[in-house]
Amino acid sequence: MLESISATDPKSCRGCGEELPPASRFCPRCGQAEDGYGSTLVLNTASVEAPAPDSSHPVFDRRWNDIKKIALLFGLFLVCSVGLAIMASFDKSPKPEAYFSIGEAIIIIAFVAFDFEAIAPLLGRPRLAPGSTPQIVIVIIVWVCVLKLYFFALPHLGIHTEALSKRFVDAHWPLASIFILISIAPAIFEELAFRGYIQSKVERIVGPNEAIAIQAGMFAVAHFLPLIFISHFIMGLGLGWIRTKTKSLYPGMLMHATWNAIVLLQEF
Amino acid sequence: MRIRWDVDSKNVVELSREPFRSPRLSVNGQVLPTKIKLSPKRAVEFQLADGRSAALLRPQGFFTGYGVPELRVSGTLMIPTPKKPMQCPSCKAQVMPNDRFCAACGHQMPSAGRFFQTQNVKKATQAIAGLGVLYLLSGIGMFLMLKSRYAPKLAELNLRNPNEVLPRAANGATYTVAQAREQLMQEPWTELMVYGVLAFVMAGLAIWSRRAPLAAILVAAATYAVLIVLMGLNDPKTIGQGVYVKILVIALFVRGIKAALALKTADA
Repeated sequence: MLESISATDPKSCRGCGEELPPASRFCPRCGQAEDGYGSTLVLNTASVEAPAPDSSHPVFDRRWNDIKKIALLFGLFLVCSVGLAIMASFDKSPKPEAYFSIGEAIIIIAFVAFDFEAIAPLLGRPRLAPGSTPQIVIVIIVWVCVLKLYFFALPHLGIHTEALSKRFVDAHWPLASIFILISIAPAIFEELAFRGYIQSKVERIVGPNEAIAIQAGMFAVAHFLPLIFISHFIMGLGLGWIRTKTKSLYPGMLMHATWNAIVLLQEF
Repeated sequence: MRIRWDVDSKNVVELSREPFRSPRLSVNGQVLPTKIKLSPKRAVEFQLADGRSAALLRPQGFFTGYGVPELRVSGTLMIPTPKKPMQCPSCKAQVMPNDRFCAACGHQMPSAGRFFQTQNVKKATQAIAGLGVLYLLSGIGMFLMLKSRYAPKLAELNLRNPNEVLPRAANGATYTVAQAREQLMQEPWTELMVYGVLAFVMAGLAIWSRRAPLAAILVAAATYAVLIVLMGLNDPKTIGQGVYVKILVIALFVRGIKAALALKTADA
């Protein structure tokens, strides 16, 4: 078959008349089969144009705006963290921590207020699919074990981090303030931001599993310490998964607050 | 700089731009006599040998896209001929860049718009892999540098009484000889681990970007932004270092996210 084609070269396409390159079995212009395989591949050039990715499509615009909003939220969180780091370097009291929590709270409340539908469905009672309770219990146990192991290993690898409560204890702040600022506030506001706002927005673009991974990655790096990127990524994965399974933010908030409280209690 | 478009087997458009000279446009080797001015506002219009209308436009680019001209023939965007010959994604036969179908297997080739989006996604994923290699090399470099820098100090400390208290260090703390020794021993390893984690994160994202480009580039962009800020906080001098590379990487990420989103929207 091929010999017969090369023998008659150059020849033109039976479909559109375009001159064919040597030994073509199909016309590169119109897709017409050129070697007697039959006319099953005769295609109309007008109808086969592949859908070009359009960057002024309404769906694209909406999604691109969502990504820009997430970038803005994340950027403002970064600004808060920078503010905390700079303030903490010359103010040894726990005040920077307090300002940081207030700043984060204002930012996320503003985002949620302007876009309440994004997280409204997640503020209801946790809804469990029948029979998924054992699965969730196992995941929580594995999650706690992995995190425990990671933070147990860190000092053994020669990495020491400052105790979370040190500044509070040095400044004689009441115990309640330590728990509010280190356990409860981050649990509420980080869950609202990462598992609530970011995950819900991303979920509509890329689907549930990738959304869990994206918010976990952002949650991990937002903590500003490369050595805990991995542990907090796992933490974010666990919390994101629980939020997807229970369709509510409250179990995640509870888990997050409990974990932070455990870490705190170990320091006393 | 020369850009060549093989519109089809019989039409070749070439644009050559040299410093201090106005650009020259040639069709099938014949230079157009009119003076060419590339601008985002007005297209340069001319005709191909077969009478089809062609227009050359410099798009209003975002950072790195700035200045790469676009050729449209009868309104259809054209792909410039790359240095390496293009292959059919299905049968790996060599194809011309603007073929609509593979001449060997009849596979439908992507449109120019889709081709450019795919390229942008690919460049962003290459940037992720590049950052991974960079962090790995930085980690090894820092490790070796700190090791050799601390070697004489360690040798000196080894000769002294471990319980002797050293004069106040730069950070305001006081150390005994034994504590200072341990610090100097550990610091290179900590540095190596931090960069190791970053290299690991980027490598993971580069692998993940094959399956989920949008998600991986989003997380990579967030991570990169955090790292710039983090290194800037540690040492404000680093913000200015390699600022062009940083802008380029961020631009590649933003364009990659936009392109991946456009492809996702078109495929849905």
